[in-house]
Amino acid sequence: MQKFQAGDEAAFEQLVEAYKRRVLAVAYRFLQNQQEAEDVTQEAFFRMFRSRDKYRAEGKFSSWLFTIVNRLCLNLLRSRKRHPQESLRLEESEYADQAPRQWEDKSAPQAAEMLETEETREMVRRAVQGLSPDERMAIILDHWESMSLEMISQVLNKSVGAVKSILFRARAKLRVKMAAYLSPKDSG
Amino acid sequence: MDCKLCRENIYRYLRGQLSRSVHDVFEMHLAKCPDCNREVAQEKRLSEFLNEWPAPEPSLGFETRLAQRLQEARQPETGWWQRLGRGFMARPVWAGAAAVLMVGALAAVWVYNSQVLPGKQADMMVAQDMELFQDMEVIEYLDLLENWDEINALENDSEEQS
Repeated sequence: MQKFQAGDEAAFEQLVEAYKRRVLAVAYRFLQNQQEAEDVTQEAFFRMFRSRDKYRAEGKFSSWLFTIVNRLCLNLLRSRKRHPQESLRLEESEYADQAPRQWEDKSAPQAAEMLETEETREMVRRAVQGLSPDERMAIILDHWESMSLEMISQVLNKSVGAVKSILFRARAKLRVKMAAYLSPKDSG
Repeated sequence: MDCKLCRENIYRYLRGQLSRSVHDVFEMHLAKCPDCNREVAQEKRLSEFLNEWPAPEPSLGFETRLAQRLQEARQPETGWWQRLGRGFMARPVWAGAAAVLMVGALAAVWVYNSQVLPGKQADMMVAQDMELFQDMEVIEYLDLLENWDEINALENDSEEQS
């Protein structure tokens, strides 16, 4: 990042390459919409380029980048509230695209297994969707991105203690939402 | 270790983030507490379920769109009016709303000028008249000023005398 700040454009390309999939994954799990997640990813790198002078070396680069991503995701959520029908249509079309592709090959021997996997993914997706924005971002950065509490606290602009309780609350909510699936296999 | 403390630390235990001593105490508690054991099993299952949700693959045009956007980022920053123009191009409804607002504002200014200003002009004329009446000499000859024949006669007399 410091090379990029000094004007090294190749360093910027390397940063984009290194982080684009992670940014896309975070935005997708947060927004649960492929198109919006890709828009946020593009916008995040655009803003990263334009505001490179504001980055301070003492902070971790990924925290800074995911702070931008978090703000963009929150802006999109607000925009969805203003245009609820539009965002609903987007989500529906996305799942309309994906569902048949995943379910069409029912004659294959792994069909039951695939069905179960799809069911699990859908359950996880819905459970994560039911969390508040802070809880959702915290659990995404913690579980899927394995970020430290300190880094998550920078992204959410909260204290480490607050992040701990957000995560505790988020996992408790997820366990309640998925209670039917979480009982040990041997007990039924 | 009690159950409350145990449950607060389950997640750190599963991630291997507990210190050696706390880890040992934690496992001693688990060995004798079936409720906390169940909690640990549920947390493990929750993590397994979350892992079932994979990251998405980028769509076909993603790389191209990203490259275009990054190219835009490299362009010199434009002025606020250009950004405003681009915003209006992207949202014609906003452009229409802004145009309606501007027309409304201009109409309001015009109506204000046409209604309020004549009143102000009348006030100014009264004020000028008041200044006229303050000039005592003018007030003294006010009747004369209204009768031009007498003024002409006075002027003729003065010319004859001279």
